[in-house]
Amino acid sequence: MLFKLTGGIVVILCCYTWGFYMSKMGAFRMQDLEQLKKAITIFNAEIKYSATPLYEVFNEIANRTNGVVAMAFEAATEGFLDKKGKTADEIWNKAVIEVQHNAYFNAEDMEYLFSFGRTLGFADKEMQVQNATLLLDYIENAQQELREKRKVEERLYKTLGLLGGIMVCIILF
Amino acid sequence: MSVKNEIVSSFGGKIRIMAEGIDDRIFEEAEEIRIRADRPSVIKLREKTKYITPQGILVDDDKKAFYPEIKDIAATMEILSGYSLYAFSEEVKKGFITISGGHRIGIAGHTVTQNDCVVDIRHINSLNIRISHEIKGCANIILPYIFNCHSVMNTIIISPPGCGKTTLLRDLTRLISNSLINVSVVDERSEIGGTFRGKRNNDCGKNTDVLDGCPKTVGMKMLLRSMAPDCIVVDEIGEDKDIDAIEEILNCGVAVICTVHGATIKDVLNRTSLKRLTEIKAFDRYVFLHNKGKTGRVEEVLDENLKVLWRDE
Repeated sequence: MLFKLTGGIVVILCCYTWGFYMSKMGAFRMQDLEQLKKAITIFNAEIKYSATPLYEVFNEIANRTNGVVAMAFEAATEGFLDKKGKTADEIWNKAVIEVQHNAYFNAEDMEYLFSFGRTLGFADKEMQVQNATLLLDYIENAQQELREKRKVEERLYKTLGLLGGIMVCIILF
Repeated sequence: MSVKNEIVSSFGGKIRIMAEGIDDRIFEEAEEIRIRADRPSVIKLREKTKYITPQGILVDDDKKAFYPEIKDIAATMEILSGYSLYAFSEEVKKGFITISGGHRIGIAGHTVTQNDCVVDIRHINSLNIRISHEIKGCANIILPYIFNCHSVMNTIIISPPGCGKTTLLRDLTRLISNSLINVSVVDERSEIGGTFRGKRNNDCGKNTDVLDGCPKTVGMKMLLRSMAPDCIVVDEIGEDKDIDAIEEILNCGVAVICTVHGATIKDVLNRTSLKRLTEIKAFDRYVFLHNKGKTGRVEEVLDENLKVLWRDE
């Protein structure tokens, strides 16, 4: 009996932890988006008001942001300085893919990140800024959507985790 | 960094693979590499011109040559600007970018104009990589005619393109500057100092100030006021306003060393403004370069009365 009870509690705790973790996914994604927003804002200001070379801009961003965003920009800075003959798009894509498994971005976020790389390097000032602004607009919309969804989702996942655990216990015992 | 490394690290796409295959020694004597979209790639050496195969081998048959695609040129533009073409918009408008080592990359493509001014070059399809060589000592032979007893003669160096005017001018600057003379250089195209992002790559002497990327007329007047030079050095004068500025500098008692395109003294005299300077004997020395053989080889030196002082036999 004691064995069953302990097992039941473990199952419920595991399911609740899963639910809790899932409920925090939105918050983690929000953090990443916030850092990305900061990065792109710095990018725009640097390109618009001073003709700083790309590797310096990326290095500056890597120093002023945290987490996966900083890691991606740092990896890209190294790629730019490598002089291995790769295009800026290739270097950026590689950097983004490298940090992908640590990031909480969804597929749409990733798509926008890749498209940011497509104009890097060869475009003129206006085009660079316009493309970055496009990403910035997307981030703001995504954040707005996420904020609305988060409240409902957080409660949903926590409840789902707890109830799921209880359900498993009822079925098994 | 060797000349080859400087050039190769600026290339992208298949152009890079081609350049990597070219022998190091060939880069030492190469003057120009011409890359054109869908046309054979060409390398100009001191005494011959050859096609380059995709593996970097020099051949005479254009069918074996490497035909770059426009995307290879786009990748090269991206890399040679350090992925920051937006930061080079002023240079692109003028039609060239100077890369690390002072090598000048001329560009051609579709120009975007506004009020008769070029504001951008898009769809770049031709590159002319002019390889800068420092030949230390090439001005030794003419130095006694140009510089003596701490005074510098007003000198004009005349030759067709690609004969080594800039190379000779750079060496002359170095030699004069190392004799404790304050030399100021207006380096509009960053070819004399080879300055790249503030770092001077070529040896222009110990007492030289370089005003990099500045238009000649403005630069000469600026240096006169700001740096109190004994001698001002300027490359490739040509427009009337450049010559007016030189006249002003000469009237201030500062020596000028400049270069101009031309082959003979007639070419100089055919230009009204230069003829005027010749008539008032503004220049003390006229230096002509050989258009064959070694880069920067002097053919003759004339004095202010156009009499031959020295001639290469």
